[in-house]
Amino acid sequence: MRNCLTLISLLWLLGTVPCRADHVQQDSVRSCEYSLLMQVRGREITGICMMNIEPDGRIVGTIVNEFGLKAFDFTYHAGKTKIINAMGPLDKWYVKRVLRGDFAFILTHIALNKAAIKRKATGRRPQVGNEQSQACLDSAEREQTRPKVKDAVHRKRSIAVLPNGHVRMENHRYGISYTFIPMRE
Amino acid sequence: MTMKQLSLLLLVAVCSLQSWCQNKLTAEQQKQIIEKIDKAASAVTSMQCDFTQTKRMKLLSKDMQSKGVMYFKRPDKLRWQYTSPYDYTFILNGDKVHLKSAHSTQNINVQGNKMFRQITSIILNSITGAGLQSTSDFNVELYQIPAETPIPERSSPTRSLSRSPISPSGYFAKLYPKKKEVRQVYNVIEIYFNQSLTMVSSVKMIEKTGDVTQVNLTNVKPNAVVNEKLFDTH
Repeated sequence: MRNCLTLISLLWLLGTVPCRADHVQQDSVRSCEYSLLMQVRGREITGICMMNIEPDGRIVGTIVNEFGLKAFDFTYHAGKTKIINAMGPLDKWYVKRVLRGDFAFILTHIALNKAAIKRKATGRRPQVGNEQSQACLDSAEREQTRPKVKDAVHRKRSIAVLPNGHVRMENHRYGISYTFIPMRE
Repeated sequence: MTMKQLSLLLLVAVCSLQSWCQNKLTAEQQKQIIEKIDKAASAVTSMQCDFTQTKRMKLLSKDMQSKGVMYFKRPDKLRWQYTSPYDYTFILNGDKVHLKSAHSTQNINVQGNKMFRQITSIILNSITGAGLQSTSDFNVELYQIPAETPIPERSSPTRSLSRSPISPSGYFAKLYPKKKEVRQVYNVIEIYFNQSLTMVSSVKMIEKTGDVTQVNLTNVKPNAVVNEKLFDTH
């Protein structure tokens, strides 16, 4: 009987522990959904971008089309991006290299923008990974307080974070543009 | 009862429950059921319904849910329209496809795009269940879901979708794609039928990456009067 009770207790514990972890995770991780418009040399592709931003600035996300078909997943941490699970036609090293560069550029700005907005709303200073990231965050926060959003340009890429939350990034070298339109948070 | 005996009993119970939940039909039974489904599918000339699409992603803890309406007219007219949380319309009319979102509009010729052709074929066949006879595209396996049994969860490599509203009893078909274009994307497509085998109630697409997309059809109106203008691709 004692063994039986031990087994029941063990099963109960196994059942409840992950639920608690999920609950905590939901409180700390912010998820964002964007409608994505991608223009490649005159051709337009639309989709949905979903991402989770963790308190340390780490981002995990996915790009799917409206039917739910995945294009690729991505992860971002401390300025580095990985493109994973790319679907057949996109699963080529040269495609992934361009996407990796573009998304590193976009996500850096999205992460900083979100962190700054969160700080403004809560009055708390969000935790970031290292000193360099913290410096970028401070800079982004200063940008938030200005009436105009300053466009960023880096090599062949430029980004504009508009006051309405739309993010438009252009890769001038390959003629690709990405527009992220917030759906809900 | 010792702890060892209790564990063994539990293991046997779990194993038998799993095999009981998914009864694979014999070749003869499968043939009969497919004939029945095909007969019902051929009687449907048009259809109108609501749908809920739930996508469970391996990487994210949150599900993505969208809703919309669908109109279908034989042989190859389909309007698949998302209304929430985004507006997106897919219209198929013969070889022509019209895609319309809030930000762009596109016209595509299906014949010029092999992958698109395969996917539209899957959508059309999944609506009526007519694709089960197509052996050149898929390997088909049929399973029976016994009455009063929870929906099989082990069929998906990922976590199962919660609270599936599909019929508690009936049949479902597992379609293993043969064509390279489809295999690149999907591992298996599961089509669930209602108990009377007259209608598809749910379609579950399990991607190669482990993501699962489930589409549940509700308020299905077979042979409803559907306005031709809904399939206008211009």
